[in-house]
Amino acid sequence: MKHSFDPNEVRSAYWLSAPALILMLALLLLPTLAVLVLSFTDAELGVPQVNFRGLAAYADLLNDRTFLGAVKNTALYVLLVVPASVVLGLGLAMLIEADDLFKPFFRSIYFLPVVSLLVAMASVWQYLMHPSIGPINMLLNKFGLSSVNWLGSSDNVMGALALIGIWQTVGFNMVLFLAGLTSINRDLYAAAEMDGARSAWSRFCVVTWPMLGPTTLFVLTISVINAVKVFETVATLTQGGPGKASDVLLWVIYEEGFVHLQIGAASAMAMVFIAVLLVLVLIQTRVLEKRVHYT
Amino acid sequence: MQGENSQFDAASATPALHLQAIEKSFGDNRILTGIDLQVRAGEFIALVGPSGCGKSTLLRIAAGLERPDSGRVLLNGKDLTAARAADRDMAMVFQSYALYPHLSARQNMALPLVMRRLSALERLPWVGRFIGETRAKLAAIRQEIEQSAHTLKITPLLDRKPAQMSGGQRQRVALGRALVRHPKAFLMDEPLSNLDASLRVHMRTEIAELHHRAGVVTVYVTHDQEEALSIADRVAVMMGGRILQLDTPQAIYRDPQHIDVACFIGSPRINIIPVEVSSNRRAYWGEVELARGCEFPDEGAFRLAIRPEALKLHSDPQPGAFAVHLHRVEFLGVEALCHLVLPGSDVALVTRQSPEIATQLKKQMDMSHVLYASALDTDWLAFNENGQRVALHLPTQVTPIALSRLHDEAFI
Repeated sequence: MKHSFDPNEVRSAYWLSAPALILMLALLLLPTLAVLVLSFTDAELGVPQVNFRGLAAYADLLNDRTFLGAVKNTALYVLLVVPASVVLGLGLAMLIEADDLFKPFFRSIYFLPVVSLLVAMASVWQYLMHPSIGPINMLLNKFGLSSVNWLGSSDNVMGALALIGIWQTVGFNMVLFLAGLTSINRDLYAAAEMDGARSAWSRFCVVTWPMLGPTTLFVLTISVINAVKVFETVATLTQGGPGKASDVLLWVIYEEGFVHLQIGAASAMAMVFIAVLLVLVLIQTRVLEKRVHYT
Repeated sequence: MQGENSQFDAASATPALHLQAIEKSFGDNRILTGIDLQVRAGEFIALVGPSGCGKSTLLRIAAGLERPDSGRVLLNGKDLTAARAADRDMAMVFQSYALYPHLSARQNMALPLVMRRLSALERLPWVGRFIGETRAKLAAIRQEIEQSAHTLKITPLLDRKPAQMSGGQRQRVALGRALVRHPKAFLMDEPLSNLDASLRVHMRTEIAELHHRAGVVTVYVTHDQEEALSIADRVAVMMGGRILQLDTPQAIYRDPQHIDVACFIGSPRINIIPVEVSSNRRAYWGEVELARGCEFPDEGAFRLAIRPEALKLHSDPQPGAFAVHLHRVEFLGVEALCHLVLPGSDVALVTRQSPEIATQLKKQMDMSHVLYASALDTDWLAFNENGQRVALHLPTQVTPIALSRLHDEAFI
């Protein structure tokens, strides 16, 4: 379709969208561009001399054990947190949806971790997971199980962080799924029942799961992005340790840029980080979106 | 209470679908009280009533989607009260169509057959088709869908998803999904109310034809009295959780047993005049005697009702006619509605007239608003204070010749 626009209207359109455009440019696009430019240099905070290094910083990353370890740890974290928090979120949402009486109560309870300050809650988790005085280990001991060194052992630390991550994400996912569930046309369940869907499982397959498609895609996207961005728990509880066992992308970038002051190298890592996020989001929206919207 | 008892010979056969002594409340809210509905084999029953009268709840109880507090649901003599909806062998069509939006029309229609004929194992994606006779079963289902699609003329739509179809097309697919199963009963919950007016009229003819061909018991819920009258073998008028009357469309219209039925059925609404019956068993509205040839069974307060088309207008006083004031004339194309009031009151009446007469009346309105209305004694209906119909006695037998003469003397 071709439109011919009144030049006056075009001008006012630009005027009206200018504040938003300028803010987006200044706060999102320009900083990203600056990071991209910095990633081609050896910029160091406090050192006035800046040399152009091209793609050298990126080449360095390929051999950087710390960075590669962080990528591996972050991927592990995402793989642990996302499926568990999506499945648990959906399960909780369906349980809560099925009960009218306690719906508001459970909805608030499970949403609490989302609204609480994670940095503050981290100290609670530190206490809970304390190897000797932590209630979790005391509980394990009571059932005759041996204590687990949650945050202090390099084998367990990512699992323990993932547990906290799941705790934090489930409530948010649950609320999103609840919204999705309430928007399902009740007649569809009646129709499925008439059509011979006897078991709860077959009704789930025929109605709930397909109808939640768009919600699930959204939940998945948000969960992945949030999991890739894991930082607070690492910064407050483990600082990447023990050793480098809980180094994650954002933590490594933070250390490189703000502790070692290597702005150039940190920028290159940030670009990789952004690229990973972009690819994930693109895959999810482009590939999956076609399968979950039925128009 | 119900006119159906006289027509239904209880000894002849068990009803195909019998809703027996159904009671249902939601909390303190009483939805259905003492419902007894017997649907004969192959019959098309319309449940009609204002919103909130319990008609949809009754249908959902028949379907098994809702449990009655007490009472039984019998299909061909079999007690299904405890049976699940999936096991009742009934199909339902919903107002919202309730098609699965992620499935094509073909898959939507296949679903009830797949769910019934294939085991959970055979329904598994990818692997299911290699188990047992899955392939043969799927081929049979495919063929049955083609047949039903042909009947409903939706073959070209089979590969489309609901979002790619118009409302009418979706409703056809929903009908198809009910039809493929060859159920023992069709239950339809306002299937046409989401369609526009002209399509609605068209689709109701098609539904009637489908029913005629399939000959399967159908219970059809609607709030549209015209739709109910036009489509059903018998109409059950529901109000306040009860069936006020179950009868043929003609009987429901001409012979309503309750004033609420009389008021709900027919458009424009039936005219109601509150009257006082004196000791001589004649009805008076103030000083004016109405329905002169009719003798009431009792004295006291009654309500006289007359259909708009039964009320004749005259320009001059006539024996048996009463004075009315012409208030407004409304043209509807093929006919015109004349809105009247009884002099010095707010009792409004309406009559149907031919457009020619209406034109003339309108001209005359400038000179005088006063007209004279009359009706045949046989057309008056009387209801007592509880709304129950009372029989009127006609002592002076009116001969057919006299009847036709009265009609000739109508206005002009």
